[in-house]
Amino acid sequence: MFDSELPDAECELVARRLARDDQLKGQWSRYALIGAVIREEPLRARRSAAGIMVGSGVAGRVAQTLELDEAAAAGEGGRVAGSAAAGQRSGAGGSLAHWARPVAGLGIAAGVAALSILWLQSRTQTLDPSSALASTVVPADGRVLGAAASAGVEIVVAPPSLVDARAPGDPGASVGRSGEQSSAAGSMREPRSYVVPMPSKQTPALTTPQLANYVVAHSEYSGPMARRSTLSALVAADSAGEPAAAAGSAAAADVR
Amino acid sequence: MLRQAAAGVLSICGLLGTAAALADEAAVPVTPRDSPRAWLQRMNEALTSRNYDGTFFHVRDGRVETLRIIHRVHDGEVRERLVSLDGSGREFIRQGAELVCYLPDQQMVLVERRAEDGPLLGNLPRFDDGTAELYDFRSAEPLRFNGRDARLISVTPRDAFRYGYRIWIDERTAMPLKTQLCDDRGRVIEQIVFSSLALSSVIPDSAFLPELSTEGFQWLRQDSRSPVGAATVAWGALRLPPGFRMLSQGLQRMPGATQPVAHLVFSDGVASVSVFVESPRQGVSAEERRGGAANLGSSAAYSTFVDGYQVTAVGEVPAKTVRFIAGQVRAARSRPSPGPAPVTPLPSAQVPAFVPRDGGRR
Repeated sequence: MFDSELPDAECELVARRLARDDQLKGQWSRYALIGAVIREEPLRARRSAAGIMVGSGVAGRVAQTLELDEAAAAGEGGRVAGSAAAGQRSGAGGSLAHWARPVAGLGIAAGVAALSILWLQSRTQTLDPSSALASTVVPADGRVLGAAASAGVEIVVAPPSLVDARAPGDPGASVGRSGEQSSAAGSMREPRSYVVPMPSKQTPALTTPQLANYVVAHSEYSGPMARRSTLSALVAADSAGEPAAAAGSAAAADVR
Repeated sequence: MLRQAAAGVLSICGLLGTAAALADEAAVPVTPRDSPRAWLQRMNEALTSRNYDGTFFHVRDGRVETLRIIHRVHDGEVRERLVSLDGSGREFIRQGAELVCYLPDQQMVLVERRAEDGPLLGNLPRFDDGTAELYDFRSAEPLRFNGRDARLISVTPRDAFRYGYRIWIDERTAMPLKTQLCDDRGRVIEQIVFSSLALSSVIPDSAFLPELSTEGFQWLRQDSRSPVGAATVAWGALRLPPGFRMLSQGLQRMPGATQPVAHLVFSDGVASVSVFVESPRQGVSAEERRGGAANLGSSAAYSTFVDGYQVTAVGEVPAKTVRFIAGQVRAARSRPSPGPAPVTPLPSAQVPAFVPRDGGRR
């Protein structure tokens, strides 16, 4: 629907459902807005239905989205968010034309749209990384820092803030999207805070000794950054459901 | 924008003490020291040569794990401890050539040992001009990250056979404060974000002791004293993804394995892929022979069977790359046994961008 990949007939079906399902509509609008924000497209509506100016920076827009999200969650916000994304009023009686225009105008690439959806789905299924970050860091690091400082070592990273270059004084947004970058840097694309949920192909055989051996042996030939990343993944691997397979009895070929 | 960029570059040059004349705003020269590749080189050196103790978040697949890394270089010996602070409780402890992997969830300890200690920085990828054809290296104007002056360096692949990186590098220490692994479309696959990082001149030995009890654990070691013997079959790849070259191949013992495994290393200068070839085994089912893929964080693996040998490619590259390479591996030629040496490193002239730490001594 975002990228005209959906057949016309199905588009119409979705559009009809959007017209009567406020919750779906709010969700759809947020996807659209997320996509637009990700691509740093100028939003059509600089002023949302709630009467709040959308900030010029990405952070502002994200913050705006968050507020809208909260509003949506609160109840009748679905319509508010919808208005912000589409730049139009989209009440329950909104006609198809109201939806067709933003569809054409936004033109979101398939990848980004799918990505946003996947991301949001994953947030409902798994631990929300950002909130986990925010909650984990704060208490622990203060102590670590204090001890380290007294020992006279050089502190490179001063926690608790994982919320890097974000505009200060925006705690609500920080909790929701820690790691979101607000400083666009020239030609470089804006870094994203989320992690693409890869299709989980993890099977019990994944961390069997054979594969672990291979990965460890391979890491010796990686650059230091890749090595750290590889070993971190191995250390952090979820052990749930893994059989304590003996070496040699499990083949990496089993891994699917 | 241009003025901002020029001002940024000017301020860096001021910091570096190179008062270069930057009159022309349109063509801002990048000093070699300030180039993205120079930053990456410095970061690699910092990661391998400095003493540090840090806590970071490893984020992938929507999951977050807190890990601690302690790294020390003392009298030329590297000690490193990587421990999961939540979840599995796994610990990896490296001392010199030995890497001990404590896997409490498996009641198992793997001991991986390199045959000898090589020069510490020997296997850092070097970013040469060939690499520049495969990746786009960029650096942003200086920015602030977590209260520090930092550089954002991006390494963007020019095709889908490799991953890219975005790295926030601390200006003063060249340590990476945050790393994102991205696919060729810039989507983040994995993040590592330091929540605390301290550089310290002295880190006691006690910091490198495991915290867990290994009572009742199964220890799997490779017997490095017995010779691995000569390779009876040399392996090679018919075709490789653009930019990849084979750097070395040799035999190596795996902990717990009875037969030595042929280990081939391929690299494009940034990413590397290992191919392991195991001798035919008894009782391999038809289903196993179909092979399969696995993901482990940023690493992908693909396993297949060639002439009864199990061929597995592993690397921090997209799944299609390991699949491609694994599917191209063939026995190049049979060698008379006993062969002259178990290791057949390529001539150094063919290894411009990547030198294995051990010089291909396996």
